[in-house]
Amino acid sequence: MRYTFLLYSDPSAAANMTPEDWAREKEVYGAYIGALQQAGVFVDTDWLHPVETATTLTMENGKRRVQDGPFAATRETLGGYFVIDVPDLDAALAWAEKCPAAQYGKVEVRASAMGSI
Amino acid sequence: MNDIGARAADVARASYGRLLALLAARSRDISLAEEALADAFRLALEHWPQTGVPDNPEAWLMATAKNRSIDALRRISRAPVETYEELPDVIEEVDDPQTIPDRRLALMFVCAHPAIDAGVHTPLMLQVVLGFEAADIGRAFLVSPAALQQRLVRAKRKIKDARISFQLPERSDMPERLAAVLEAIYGAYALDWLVQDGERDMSNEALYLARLLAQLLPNEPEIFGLAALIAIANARMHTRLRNGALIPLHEQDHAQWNSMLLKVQLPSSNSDVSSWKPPFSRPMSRASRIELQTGRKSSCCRKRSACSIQRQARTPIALQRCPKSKGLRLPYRNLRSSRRRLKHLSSRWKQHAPLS
Repeated sequence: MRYTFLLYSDPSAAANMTPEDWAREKEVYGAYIGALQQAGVFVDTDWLHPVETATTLTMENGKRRVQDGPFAATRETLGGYFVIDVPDLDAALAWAEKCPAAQYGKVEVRASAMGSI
Repeated sequence: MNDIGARAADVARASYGRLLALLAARSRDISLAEEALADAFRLALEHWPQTGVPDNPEAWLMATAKNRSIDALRRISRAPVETYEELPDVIEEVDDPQTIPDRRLALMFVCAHPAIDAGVHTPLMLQVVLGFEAADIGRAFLVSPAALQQRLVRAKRKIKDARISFQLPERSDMPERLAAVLEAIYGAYALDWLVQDGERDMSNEALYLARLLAQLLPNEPEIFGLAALIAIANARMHTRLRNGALIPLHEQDHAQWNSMLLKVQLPSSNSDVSSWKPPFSRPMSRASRIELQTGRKSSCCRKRSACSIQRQARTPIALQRCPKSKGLRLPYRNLRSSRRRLKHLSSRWKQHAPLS
């Protein structure tokens, strides 16, 4: 059975982190990924830019609407995810537009932060 | 030194937006480009007094800013450095009408991307591309400069981190971003509206950008209206003040109006003005009421006189009669809400200026 871990944390804690803190953080996650790989259970992981860099897209009512910021949850809850590799946000939004979930819900798009620190 | 300083200021005025647009397009990092360009200008002020102003100061600044960017990128060991190496040292003019002929316009469309907070589209363009201070923009938008600055920083970070494309939007996507771009061009004009010759003056830049945009999107009548409005209002630049006081339109010396600007040719338009719909309408603001009242009072506006085109451009009249009105938001919003007037202006303009 495949399981997905959704990682939640308080972004204000990250705001005061020093480069040394980040290096330690990378080590800790590296060790965890290593352990998963060694156990043969690792599938994929990613680290995302903070929530304020999110873009939300919906095709509800047949009209494409794009807005700055994260999806503010109301009745909808997280139901799945896709990871794609494209050159920029517009290419990502073009695929988000075709995602079936956009027809009846919202797709929050966030860039990978891997390699940015 | 003063001469050098003045020369650097000239180059800054003429080239800042162009240089920044080129730099930012490569790194997709506006803040980094701004820092690199500021460094380049600082170095120019240090070096030029000794070495003299280079033959091509723009190329010097570009090369310097490029090197500073590469240094900065190496320091933070992030984005691929080679993106900068292919950056041209001279600023080329693009003739292909399918591409945006001025990089500044391209960057303005980037600033109006729907994934960026809509309330910051126009301020972002005014600061990043047109070089205005956040404090001046804040005053015009009636928000505190500190709050605006924070939103601008956030928007720049979003552009970088979310990897918003610096490619031009498809033509089909341009109209949805057009309102903010037009507002910024009008803002560049309105913020410097009372500036006299010799001081910083963005009004000619605003007219240049509006005409370029008209060339790019010939089906958008609002661009023609804006270009006409700026040209007509600019024609009166030397007659609107006497001893520091504003002169009403009908008391101005018409012979001093710049007739060249009244005949500025715009690219041919395919637009059907009658089909134009305003982007939105809103209740008439106080400034708008003042504007209409003064418009009625003005004999120039009432009479069917020879100055038929000037009659139409009443937004600047409102500003002339109402010098306390500093908001750029108010006048342009008024303009946009006055659909009939703008339509008329657009069609009058086309009749008056024979199209090439």
